[in-house]
Amino acid sequence: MKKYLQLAKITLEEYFVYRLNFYLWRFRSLVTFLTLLFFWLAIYGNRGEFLGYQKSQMLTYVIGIAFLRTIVLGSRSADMAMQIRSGELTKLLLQPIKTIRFWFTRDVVDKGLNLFFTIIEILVVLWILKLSFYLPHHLITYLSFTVLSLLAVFLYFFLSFTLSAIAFWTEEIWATRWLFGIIFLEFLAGAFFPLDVLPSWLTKIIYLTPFPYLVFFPLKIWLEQLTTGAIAQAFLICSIWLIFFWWLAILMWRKGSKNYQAYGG
Amino acid sequence: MEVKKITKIWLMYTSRAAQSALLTTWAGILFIIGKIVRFLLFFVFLFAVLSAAKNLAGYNREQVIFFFLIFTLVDAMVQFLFRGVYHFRPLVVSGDYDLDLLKPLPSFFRPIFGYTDILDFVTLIPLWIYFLWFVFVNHLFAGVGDLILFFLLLGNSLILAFAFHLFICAICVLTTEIDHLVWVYRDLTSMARFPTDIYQKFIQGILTFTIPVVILFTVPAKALLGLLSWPWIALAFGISVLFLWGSLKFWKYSLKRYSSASS
Amino acid sequence: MIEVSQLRKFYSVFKKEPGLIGSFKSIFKRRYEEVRAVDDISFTIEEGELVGFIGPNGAGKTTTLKCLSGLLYPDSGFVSALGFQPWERKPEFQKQFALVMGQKNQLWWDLPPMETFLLNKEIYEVPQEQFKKTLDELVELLEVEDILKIQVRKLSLGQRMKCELIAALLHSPKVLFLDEPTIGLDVVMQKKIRDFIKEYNLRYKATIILTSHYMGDVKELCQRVMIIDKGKLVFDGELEKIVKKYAEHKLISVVLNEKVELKKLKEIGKIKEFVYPHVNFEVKKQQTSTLAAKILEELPVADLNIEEPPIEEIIRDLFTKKNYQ
Repeated sequence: MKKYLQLAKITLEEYFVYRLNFYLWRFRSLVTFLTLLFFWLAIYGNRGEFLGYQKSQMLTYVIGIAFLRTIVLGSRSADMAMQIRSGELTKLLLQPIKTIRFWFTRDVVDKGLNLFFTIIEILVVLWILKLSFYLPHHLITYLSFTVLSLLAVFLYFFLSFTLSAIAFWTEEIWATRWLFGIIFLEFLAGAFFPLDVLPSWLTKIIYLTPFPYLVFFPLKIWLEQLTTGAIAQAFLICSIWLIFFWWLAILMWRKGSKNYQAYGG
Repeated sequence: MEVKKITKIWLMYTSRAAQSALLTTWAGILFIIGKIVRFLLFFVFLFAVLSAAKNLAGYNREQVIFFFLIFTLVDAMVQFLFRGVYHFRPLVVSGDYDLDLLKPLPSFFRPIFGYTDILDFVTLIPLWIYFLWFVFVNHLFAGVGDLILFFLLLGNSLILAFAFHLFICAICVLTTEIDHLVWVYRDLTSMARFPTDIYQKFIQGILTFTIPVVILFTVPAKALLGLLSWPWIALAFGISVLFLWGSLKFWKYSLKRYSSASS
Repeated sequence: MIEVSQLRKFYSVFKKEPGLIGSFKSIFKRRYEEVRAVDDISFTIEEGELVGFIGPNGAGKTTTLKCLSGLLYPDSGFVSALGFQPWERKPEFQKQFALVMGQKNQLWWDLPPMETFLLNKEIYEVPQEQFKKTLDELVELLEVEDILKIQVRKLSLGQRMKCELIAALLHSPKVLFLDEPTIGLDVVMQKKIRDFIKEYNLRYKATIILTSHYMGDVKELCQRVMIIDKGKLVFDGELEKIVKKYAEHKLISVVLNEKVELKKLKEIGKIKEFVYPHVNFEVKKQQTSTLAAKILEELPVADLNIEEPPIEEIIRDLFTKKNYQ
């Protein structure tokens, strides 16, 4: 346990060393957030309702995206791909620290730090622009939101880990991650706009993939726009995907590290 | 004479970059597919939302899509021409850039133009064709004068983008920390996917005078639509000249401070 | 030809305390330390000379070379090469010299060396005929005809080094700066590169400045040697002079006729090595003749030789004790 604490400490220190990078990362998150916010503000203009969402609900959705992006998406396990390609992973494999826990610890630190700043940024923006934020009325909402979000965190972690493990077998890891990140996550997770503005034949398909459970469904729960049955279904599908990727991540890790030839050296 | 030599060398660099890239064909193809998919998804998104909303900051659906097309076009051209910047950091960190500095070529040649990607060019052609078709079909330009002004301002945007990429290279030489800076540039410029009028005045100010996103994208777009006033045109050219001069000075300064990775 | 006067180049590095508190502090205030890489160095080199820079790691040799080639901007002092100020990086100047650094590459990694050669031909504006002639000569000297079309990443380090040399010499530079050219190469390859450098110097009357950690390079190639330590030039002259000036000891190597007891040998003098029938004595310079006489008198000697200690040892002692006076 102590070594994970030490690891967390080192990860945090890294942020101080590469502080410029960190500030820029925060800036980038803010820019993405504001771009989306202003778009929807401009679309709404003076009207109160659009495509089934009240103005405050849509804005809450956008803010929720910023919040969930930080907690769920974004992962240090992307570094793992780089380590695999550069051959650095060998060092790690020789050390008595379990790899999956290693990356998870780094993720926790990463998300914790970024969450702290995200909340501040959101509050500042809310205050400056005088926006109204939708707060759920029922306690159960807060609860289910938290639980699904936690499931989403783990789901994404294993998804990302699996993806990074592909680096064991191919050099084209950047392209793969990028394609995955930009395309599937941005759109299919609902991290750009609420998925139900799309036609229902399309959404039926999308809801079967793991992606909407990362951002879209937790936010729908928060906005109290889902029936209990729908919530239960969301939990179910999310859990199934979670278990699947958990299994897949471990499998790929085992196979990959066995065949691993330190590359480059 | 000089121009001929530089062009020939640029083509040779591009050819070598392409040869190197062919060895990782998968990556290149995946990127192209990704870019196309992203473009289409965003297009569909804009189309769907604007069809329902009918109006964004005073622009109709066709105009909003037009702004998006301009953004994609200019962004694609800038990426095509200045892709070398993305490969510059390893060159500096390894110290191999030293050997380029000593060659009788402009010092910024390899950092900026040394890695032009043929695949980018391939996607530019259909993009231009579609763009021109879209503009004509939707009667989006007011007259020939606007067309000429548009192309002039487009050239201006490229010069401005060059200046900014040179600035990034200078930062790389000084600190080698450029990855996030490049992404800041990309994120800020992607604010111009929407007509920049949707942002608060304060933000628009930032987007005009710091990283001049408005000059890069919105100004040529508005010129074609016939919506641009003289002060803006003057500002556009003025800012380019200023940025170009500033970047060149800063680049020279960064080379003086260059400490070169020690052996 | 090359003239350096009171050259100075300093760097700032910052120090960080270890631990989280240290990191936190470093956000607010960083402590910079000044490293005097080159501290008041002056020398002149004439055309056709083959000069070696030696010195401990971090002494400032590479920094000096980089100032000479125009990579670094001197903090103060005067540098002139071929009549140019290197830092201005005028193309006319750049076309006349070459810098080869043992650990840095200009060859495109994924492509055959030929691709880089052709590119350099254009960059340096070498006419087609001259290019062909120079290329053929270099390829023959370095024996690399077979590998020109093989991807650089598939070549061995020695082959790569040879191609890097060719790429650097295609424009027939009059001045050559070589920074650790034989680093990492096996002994056979080192000899080949050294022979090449010697031949290049003779054939083209090129001025060559070489830095190296291998005394073998320096011994074989350089008539003139400059020792740089902590940014200062502490010796400038012929290699033999270093030996004469700095060697504190000499070696007397003896071959014995009959067995002698170790005790007796120890009484005679300080033994460096003893494997019968060879004995090596180490003796202070001044006492050489006395000890030699004693050995001849008291030991059954078949052969006796008085030698200088290997230059590597002299240099090593010099760098550790640093008494350059």
